[in-house]
Parts: sequence; structure tokens; C-alpha cells
Amino acid sequence: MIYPLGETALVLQAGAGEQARLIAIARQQAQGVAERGYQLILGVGNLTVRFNPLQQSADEVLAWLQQQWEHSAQTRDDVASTQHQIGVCYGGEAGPDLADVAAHCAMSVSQLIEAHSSAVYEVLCIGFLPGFPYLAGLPANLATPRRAEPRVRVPAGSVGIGGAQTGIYPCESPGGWQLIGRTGLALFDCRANPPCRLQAGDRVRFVPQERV
Amino acid sequence: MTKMKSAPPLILRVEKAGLQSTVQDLGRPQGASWGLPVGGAADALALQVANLLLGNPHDAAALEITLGGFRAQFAHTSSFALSGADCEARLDGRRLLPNAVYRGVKGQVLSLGSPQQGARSYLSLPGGIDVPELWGSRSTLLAAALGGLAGRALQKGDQLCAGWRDQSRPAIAIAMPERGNLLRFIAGPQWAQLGSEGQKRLTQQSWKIDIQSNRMALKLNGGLLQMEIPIEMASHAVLAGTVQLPHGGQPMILLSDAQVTGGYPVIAQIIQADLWRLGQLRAGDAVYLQQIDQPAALAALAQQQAWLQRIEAMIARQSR
Repeated sequence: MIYPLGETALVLQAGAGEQARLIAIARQQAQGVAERGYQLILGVGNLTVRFNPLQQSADEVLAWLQQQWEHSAQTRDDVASTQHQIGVCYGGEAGPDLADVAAHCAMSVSQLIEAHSSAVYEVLCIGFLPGFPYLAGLPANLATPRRAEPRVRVPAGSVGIGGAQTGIYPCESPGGWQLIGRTGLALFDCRANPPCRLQAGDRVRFVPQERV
Repeated sequence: MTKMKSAPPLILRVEKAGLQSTVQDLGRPQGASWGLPVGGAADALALQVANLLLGNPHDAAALEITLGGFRAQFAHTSSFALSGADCEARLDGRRLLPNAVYRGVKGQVLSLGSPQQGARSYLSLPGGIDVPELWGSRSTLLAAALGGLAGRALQKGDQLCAGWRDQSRPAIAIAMPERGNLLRFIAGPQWAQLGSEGQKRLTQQSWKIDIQSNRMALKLNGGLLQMEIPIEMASHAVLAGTVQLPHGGQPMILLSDAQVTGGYPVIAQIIQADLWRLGQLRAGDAVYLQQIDQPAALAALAQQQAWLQRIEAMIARQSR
């Protein structure tokens, strides 16, 4: 389903099950998207195309998007997926909510660490904060509601669980997720090229380590 | 006019930075896949006018000054232009009106008071303000502490350099379109689920800008709205001008520094031609929202672009 967002954008709504196809389209940024002046923004189960409506008609963009969608059925499996191992120091000062989360999930702290670090997560898209990965793949039995009182300051690199999601805070920000650990890996670095370490379609594994 | 290729000329020394003064241009759209807000001037129309007045590229970097209270001394003589909110600007004793070109002589002091109306003023220098370009833009993104001048708002003692030297621009002033209190919108993807009662309330009453508004969003006061059909949304792209309805029921309109993705229902999208008005709204201002269709939004945008092109051509003629 494709619908407009104002006069400058069209949204392709495909559903979370089709993320691989959406990622395949978004990854083609370099191929023909820039020349047309399009800008692609990937969401979870959706993809938005921004365009200049004085240069292209919505109908043209719609036709292009439909074509990309059909084409993505073939290219979905060609998306290169980088595997990242992210070292995490679980618990202690780095993960003040670890014990609470373990209690909520009715498991020991070491079982929780084992479960969280043995899953393979997929980066669905980057958003919310610069470099913030939306990760799929949290084992269902680790889902834990957000904290009743959000923290004013969550340190950069904090690894948390919020509802059925897990994620990493790329920079210091306020936040309501349960913090179970922290990584010293910079997810977003202005001096790096590209500045964002992860990209949609990548896979992530957390590796327990002694220190941040 | 002398265009120098040597070191960028130092023009202004900041004596008082004001509430929030940042270097802005038209933003950094290519950062979206990294989760970077687009950013850029909150009133992009005023920014473009300030640039055109000096013969700059329309998207050059200028200074966005929030609610006035800014003062700086000319370290070298230079042309400059002011646009946006009228802050009773003065050059030494002389009163300056916005949307005009002036010449500051070495030693003179430019000061901005408080605006009677509007929120943001723009100060442009010849060739734009010289700060490093980062991913195609010089905009300051405060949330990520990047771009602009060291990724932050200006402070007392900062120095502003121009792209080139120019002391002899013709003194031109232009009349800006009336700002009014009407924001036109196109129905958003979740407009239908807002229900007829909510739709009526959104469009038939006035809304006041909440004190908790900034470059990320304007919150609207005027009672709470509820979606008739509650929906859980997956994260999706949001834009400047996107009107979200969070679960709490207070509608908010996103601005230039909005996050790239959001998760609340989108009930409306302010039309492109009216985005500049959002950048001039401040706490307590009353606005009305009016629904229009796609063709009307496109016509308004085309009209605004044609107006900018006329201004550019007029200034080019006078500068010959």
C-alpha cells in the first residue's frame, strides 16, 4: 500500500515481515535515487520517499516506487549483511537494572546474560537518535516493560530492554528503557566515514565482557 | 565587490549571544539513513531572503537568532542582511528594519532587542557564514552537537567569518508576505482514525503554542484530542510540519530538528509553503489549522517559489 504524507512524500507500507525488501530498496540510495533528487527514509515495515513536487509529480514517484517494490522481490536476498560483535559489560554500574529485569523474567542474572548474548539481532532501521538501531530478535521471554520513571540521563553506549525491543543508546539522552549493560563501542562518530557503525540489514551479537 | 580566495574574512565578534543563536542553512537531508534529523533554518523562507539580499546562494549558512537579545561588533567593514522577526535591531544608534541590506563599519555595534512578533531573526553575511561543511550542510544540530560553530549555539566571544568580502551591496529592502495565523494542512495518514469529532475540533478552534516548544516541535494547547480508533504504530518517517497526536492527546507539530522517525499517529501534514510560519511561532501565539487538498498545496508552493525567483531577479538587476 502506498499513501501520501503531505505533498512532498509517499509512504510504502509493507508490514514488518517485508523489512528485507524495504532494506533492499533503501540500500539502492546510490543508484538513481540521488539523480532524481529523492530521499529515502526507512522505518519498521515502511519506507518513505521524499521528493520535490515542483520537479516530479506524485504519479511519477508512485510508479518508480511500485517498480522498486516489484524489483525488490529479487534483490531482497542480495543485501550484504555485516555481522557485528558488540562487547557488553552486563550489570553493575553499567547495567543498573539487570537484577530487576532478571527478576521480572523469572531467571537468574547469568541466565539473562546468556539469553541476551546468544540471540542474533537484526538492524531493522536507524532512527530516533543519530545512530540508534532498531533491533529485532529479542527472545520473547526477555520482554520487560519500560521503567515507570524514565531516567533524565542515560549514558552513551547503554544497552537496554524496552518492551519487546532491545537497543543501544548511541549518545547520552533521557530514556525509559531498562538498562542491563553498556558497550564502549561508539555507534555514531562524526569523524568516521560513514559516521554510523551499523546499517539496516546488518546483524548484531552481544558478547559479554568484564569491562566497558 | 572583491571576492577573496584567501583566509575567510572575520566580520563579527559576538558580545551577547542571546537565548539560542545557531548557524543554519537548509539542512542535511542525506543524514537520514544514519538517524540524523534534517535540521536547518526553522524559517527557511526568511533564511533564503537574507541570502538573496546579499547575492548569496539561496541556501548559504546564516545566523538564526531566537527571540533576539543578540549583540556583536564589526571587526571589519561588511555588508550584511537581516530578515525574519523584527527585533528593533540597531547599528550603533540607527534603527534597522528586517528584510533589508545594510553596511556595518568596523567598530560599529549591531544589537537586536526583543521581537514584538515572531520568534526568529536571520543575519546573513556575504558568501554565507564560514563554518566547515559536514555531509553537505553547515547547519548546527544541537541534539548531536555537530555542524555549525563547534556543534553548539553561539557564545560571547565567538567570531563569525564570511565567505567573502563585500562592502558595497546596494541598499535593498523587500516586503515579506503576511504571516497571519493560519496553517494549512493536508490530511495525514491517520486522519480518518481521528474521527469526525476530532477532525472538527482540530480545524474549528484556535490552538495556542505551548511554552514547551523548541526547534524539534511545537506543542499545541487547546484541549486534548483522542484517536477515535486507537492504533499502535510502527516507527515511520516524520517530517518538518508533521502533526502527531501522542497518546496523551496533546497535538504537536514537528519542526526542523525533529527526529527522522516517530511512532505516533500522524493526523496532518502542514503544507510546505507554510513551514516558514511554524518557525516564527512562539509560546502563547494562537493559530488556526485549515485543511486543503494536494493541488492547492502544490499551487501555494509554486507561488512561493515564483516569489523567491522574482526577488532574486530583482536583486540581480539592482546589483548590476
